[in-house]
Amino acid sequence: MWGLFSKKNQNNRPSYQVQSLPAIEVSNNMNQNISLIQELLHHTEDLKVKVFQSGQKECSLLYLDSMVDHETMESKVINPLLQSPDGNPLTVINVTELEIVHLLNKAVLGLIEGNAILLREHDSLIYLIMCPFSSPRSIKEPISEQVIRGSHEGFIEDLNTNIFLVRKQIKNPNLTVQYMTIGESTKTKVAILHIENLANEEIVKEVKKRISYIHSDYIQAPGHLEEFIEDNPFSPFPQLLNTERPDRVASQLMDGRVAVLVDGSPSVLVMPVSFFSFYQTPDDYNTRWYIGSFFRFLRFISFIITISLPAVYIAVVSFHYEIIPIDLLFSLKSSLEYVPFPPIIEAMMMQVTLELLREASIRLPSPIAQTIGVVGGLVIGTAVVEANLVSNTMIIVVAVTAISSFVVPVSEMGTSVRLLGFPLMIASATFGFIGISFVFMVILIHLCKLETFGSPYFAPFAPLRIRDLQDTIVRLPLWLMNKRSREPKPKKLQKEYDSRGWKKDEE
Amino acid sequence: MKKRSSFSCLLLSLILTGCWDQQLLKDSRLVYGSSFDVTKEGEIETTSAIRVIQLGSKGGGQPVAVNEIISGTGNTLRESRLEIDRILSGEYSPNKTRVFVLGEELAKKDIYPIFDILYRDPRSSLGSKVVVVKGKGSEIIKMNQIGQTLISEDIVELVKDAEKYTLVPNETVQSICTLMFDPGKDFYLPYIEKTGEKSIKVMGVALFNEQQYTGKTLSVKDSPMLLLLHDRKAKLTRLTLMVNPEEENRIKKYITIDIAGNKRDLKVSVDNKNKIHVNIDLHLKVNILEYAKNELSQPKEIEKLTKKLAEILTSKSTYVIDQLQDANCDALGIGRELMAYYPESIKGENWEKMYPMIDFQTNVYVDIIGTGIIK
Repeated sequence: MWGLFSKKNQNNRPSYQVQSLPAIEVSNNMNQNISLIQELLHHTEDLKVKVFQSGQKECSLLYLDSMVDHETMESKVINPLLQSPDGNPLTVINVTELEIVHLLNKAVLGLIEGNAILLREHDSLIYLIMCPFSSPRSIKEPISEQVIRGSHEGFIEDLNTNIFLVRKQIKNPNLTVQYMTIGESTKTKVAILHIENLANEEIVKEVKKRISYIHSDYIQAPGHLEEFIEDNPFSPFPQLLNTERPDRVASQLMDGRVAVLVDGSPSVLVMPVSFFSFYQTPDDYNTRWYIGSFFRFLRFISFIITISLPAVYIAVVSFHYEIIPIDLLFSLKSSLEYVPFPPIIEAMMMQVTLELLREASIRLPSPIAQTIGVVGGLVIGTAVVEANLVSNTMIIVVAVTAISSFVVPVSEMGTSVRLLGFPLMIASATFGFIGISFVFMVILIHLCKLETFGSPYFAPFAPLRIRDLQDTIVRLPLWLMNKRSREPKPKKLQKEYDSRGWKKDEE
Repeated sequence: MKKRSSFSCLLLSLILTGCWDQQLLKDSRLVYGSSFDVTKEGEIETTSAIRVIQLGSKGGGQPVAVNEIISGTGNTLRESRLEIDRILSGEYSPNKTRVFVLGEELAKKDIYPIFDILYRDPRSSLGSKVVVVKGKGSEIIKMNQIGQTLISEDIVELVKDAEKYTLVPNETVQSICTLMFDPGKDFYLPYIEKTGEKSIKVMGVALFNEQQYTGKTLSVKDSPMLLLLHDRKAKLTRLTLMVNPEEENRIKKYITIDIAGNKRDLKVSVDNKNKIHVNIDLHLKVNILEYAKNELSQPKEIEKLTKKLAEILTSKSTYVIDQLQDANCDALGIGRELMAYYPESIKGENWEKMYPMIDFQTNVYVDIIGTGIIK
């Protein structure tokens, strides 16, 4: 069935794609070259042609008005050319990148990447001069991943700045960057970062291989990339870690993982990750270890609550109310007395309302988003109970579920887990606790079976690696965690030793 | 095609099955307490107190709980429940029942038939209390409310309180199950009585033989001693005993003690003539709570009191044992001991007939460890 959608059309490229440009040799007639370039760019109006004399030769400088930095071009390109007596571009132009090309289509590609091109009379070659215009936004803390203590840097939309941010944290010659270009008509630059001699090269190779398979017109964000390279696209669990924090990427790289940066997006993909990576935050390491452990444990409980609380509640009130203590039972029953719907409908209604509220508050500009809080909290919360549409307890259950799903540091995981609650709710409404245990079994089997880039997703639980539990539901003191986790298969396990040796020396 | 049909099979089985065994909490009528009696015709009469919610105002307002009392009769317990179900709107749900009240007449017959349904049904409430009542159980349930407390709550609270003071044993439907089937052990249940138009009272314990109420009871004055002998002391054990009969002032005749520690040694032995001897030593650590005569500063007085208390308590224990043997209630599980250690001694004999003939020897040793904050 899937073959229907994925028929390869490689030989017959549509004309809007970048590769469709014909390869034309540069001729020695400057004006003919200029008009050909204009032709190839479809007479776009931001293409500027500047003709001037340099060292007795007529030169023309072509550039896309919107893509070049005017100041640099004026001081580093035009002025030296006008002032020099011989006018040899290779000696007078002092920009960092200067390239000579002989094909017109290459020159055009250079133009759209922010180069200026210089043509000289009777020369059958073109100088590509790098002077791109960029206006990166300032480095700010990402709003989706805030921490209390620790670094407040965040990635931005500029690839070079992002690599700089990582390099600043890991000053190591082994930190290797490899570029790839994907997106047939957008030419998006992708950087693959890993630490040579630490990261498993099989995994690095696999990442590159998978990215090289991407044949897509348009890659906008790492989200696109993620869908093309993840192992199991039908799994409800995210298999690549999405983060906007340089410190997080650095620590993952130091664990032997691979990071993929995409130009134009502040999100960085990290692979291979396990289920528990989504429940770790840099805060855990910035606070004292038992505080970190407490929050880890809290998040682990939040996972269980998010996935099962509505389902357990439904099962209890519609199948097994014997298990509720009698005093609680009576107040439960009195809150349910006038509700006309079965519990499953009640729960679904409230869950959908909650998702609507959440979605609306993201979309709305923040001044209006506050009204959503009022509408959600007061109108829905109170009025729904007053109108006997939903019971009090169900409101509590749904609210607790929502709050615990927001605890997850990676919001994608939180949403995935909350959505997983729906099948559980349906199962519990049809079969009670038995249904819940069946769905849990299916989820557990799936988790155990899932692999990302050849490493087990549910490690260190399946396969059980006792030592690697050090950094999952608890966070042990750093001086006890002197070995790396085995899950990304790093080449060296030791990462710390004898850091508290002073204690021994004192004695 | 195969995929599609298997998928639709899965979908249909999800949609069409399940759900029917749903028992929605909001549709069920929760029974908080039930009583069982025999009618003159020999049928079983079940009377249930069903908790109903009355909302103060619609939606908001604190819900008020009210009892609805419904009776039904039938040849079996299930039949009587079916009759109640016919009277009651909604689903009769006895699976959270907190207390079962057995009428005297019914308890004197075999009580197992009543409990059969409770053990057979997986949903029934095994943690509920069982009490025996003087007269008809339904009379107590029909009282509906005692003061501001609803009847079932009131019985449970009464029994729990009595348990705390070592007046009655802590027994539930589940705990008496094994005892009912054990030929070597008998049980005893809380015994309550309707004492007035608006009051009920814990009177002591009702002694059972096998699965039958013997009609004999121990009062609350003696039941703590039974529980001590059985090594089932609860948190508090308070006894008021007459130690100075010679005093003129009535209040000075008595002492109130609290038993702080209890150590029981039970020895069963069989002699050459196949006579069974049971020797029970009770070592009690005693706090004096109230002693109006107040001469506790003298060690001599303490010594005298210790001796006297031991004497009184020993005679009390002998009395309790006599009562047990009289009722043929093997509450201490002597039969079980014998079956385990001296199986030959009761082989081929009728244990029921042997039990009253057993020679019991009880000794109580008292150690006064505290007299309060004044001497």
